Amino acid sequence: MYLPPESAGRRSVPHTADLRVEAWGPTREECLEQAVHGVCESFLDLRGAQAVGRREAAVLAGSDEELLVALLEEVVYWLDAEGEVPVGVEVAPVDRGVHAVLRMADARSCPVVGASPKAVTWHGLEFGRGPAGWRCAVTVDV
Amino acid sequence: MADVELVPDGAFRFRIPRGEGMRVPGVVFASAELLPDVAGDQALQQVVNVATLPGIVGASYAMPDVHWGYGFPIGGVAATEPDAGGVISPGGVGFDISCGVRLLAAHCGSEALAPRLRQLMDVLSARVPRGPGRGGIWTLRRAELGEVLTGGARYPVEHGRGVARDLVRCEDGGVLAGAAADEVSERAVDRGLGQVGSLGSGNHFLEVQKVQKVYDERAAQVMGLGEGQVCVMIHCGSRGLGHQICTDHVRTMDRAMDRYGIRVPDRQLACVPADSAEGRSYLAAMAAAANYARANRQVLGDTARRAFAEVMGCPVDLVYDISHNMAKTETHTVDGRERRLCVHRKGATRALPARHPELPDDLAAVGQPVLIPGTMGTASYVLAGVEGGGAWHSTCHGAGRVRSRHRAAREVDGRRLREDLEDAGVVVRGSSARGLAEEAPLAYKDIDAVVRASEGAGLCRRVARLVPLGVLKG
Repeated sequence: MYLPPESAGRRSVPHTADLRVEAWGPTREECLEQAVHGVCESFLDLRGAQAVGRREAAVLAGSDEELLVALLEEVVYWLDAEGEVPVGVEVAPVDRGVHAVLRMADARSCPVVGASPKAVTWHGLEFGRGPAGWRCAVTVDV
Repeated sequence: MADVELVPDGAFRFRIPRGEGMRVPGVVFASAELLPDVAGDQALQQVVNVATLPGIVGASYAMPDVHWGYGFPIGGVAATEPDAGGVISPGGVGFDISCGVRLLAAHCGSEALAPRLRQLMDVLSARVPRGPGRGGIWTLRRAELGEVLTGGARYPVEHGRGVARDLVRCEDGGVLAGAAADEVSERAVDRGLGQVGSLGSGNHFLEVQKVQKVYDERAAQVMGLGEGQVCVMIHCGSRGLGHQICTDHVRTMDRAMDRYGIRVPDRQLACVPADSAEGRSYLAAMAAAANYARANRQVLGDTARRAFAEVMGCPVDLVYDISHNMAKTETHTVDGRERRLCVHRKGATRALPARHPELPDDLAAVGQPVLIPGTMGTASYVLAGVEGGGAWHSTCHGAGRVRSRHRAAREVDGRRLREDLEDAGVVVRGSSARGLAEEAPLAYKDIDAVVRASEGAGLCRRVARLVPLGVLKG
């Protein structure tokens, strides 16, 4: 995966029917934060969105790849269950996973710009550390 | 992809010979033009991968609209034999369990509707929730949702959201047996509570259509369709609840496979024996999601019916409701012997022939109606099952995507597309310009070619072609 020069970022790339997001960052946690932003920006215009609440989650998994999937599943869950979308994300390492703080906006207040995420897949899942920092790629069912 | 050998094998049919690890051959129903683009689509490799599943019988089938999915291709059909260790795989059903189509026919023609079409679309737009997150027509408590999971479309009908005839014209009488609400996780329930009676997003839609052409007068008449008639087509599924059930059970099976000595070439094909504890648990949860999907479409259909009553003062009858993401236990004759099979259809539609015992009496003479949602702005079809139909009586489910959302959005100006549709007399309501562009016709195979190939391959026959008058995009 080509990495642009910025130390942290995200982008969506073509995939036949769904959404594929690539993200990168100097640490595993920053890379995860970028992936969350990448998924949320794919379907809502979050410019100007105000956080109105906060959710915290202990996300535990057996591998970094599964951690990425589990964190994004948390985002999908709050979207469907409460109509919330994170506009701020802070991820901190804990034993066997991460602790995530999500600053939530009301999804209904944000303009829709794409199909909404419904599940996170293992298809072409990548997450690891390279010479330029951490990078991940994930395919999301929309 | 270059490794997948494809051998022409008759009209609209190609065979993938058995290679290493394949328990059965692959069979692809398509014209040469409809075959997946080998450079950018892994669908044929996925047909090969499915052929390795334990207990698979016959062949790993692909319908003419086949394209790349997760584990199974979309447009894939595979039957396994539980009595011989055959597996169940949630990847063979798809994330959107019981995603399907409901078609209703209004007692009015398109000329009568024309002066009130915009008013009707405004009413529908105001009442049909769509897009991301929460928001359903029917707000339920948790106990009531449990009733939906076991009662399917029957529950809303019993609570004033429909009429008894709706159940007769819904696959399985509106209720899939074997559902167990306690096999559905709390997370799935949380996601499903606020979404009963909602379209969602992506390729889901509610369209007001007219019957443009009838190919089989008798079948159309029995189904309740005639040329020029106004219809409503609803394409959606089990929303967040179904996706969560798939997610939960794929994970459980991924962990359990080792215990059953099962290896799969793609983790997304995770599976277990259909008769195992994990298999039975998934099938019960899947049935619950199927019932949710039918209730969802029932509520949406009832809302459309009320809108027609208000704006047009005319009744609306259900033509049929059928899923295209399901696994079902069915009896089929294999090698001269009747066997119980678990038939996975992912992006494929069951198409029972005339006189099949599972058909309601009034449809028995013409076969099962098969509802094919087309691409926005083009056409949709009503088909019917035929005698001797291949692939365990299955056929296509739609146009089949060929361009990514990304590429479609780059190549199509959504505002221009909306103007073009409006210029063609199609009223479009409620979607972002990008959302429209992602679903543009050029992103899909030609629906007419898909249906021609399905009919040519002997999977179904055409009954009617429908064109859109108004589009409500999810």
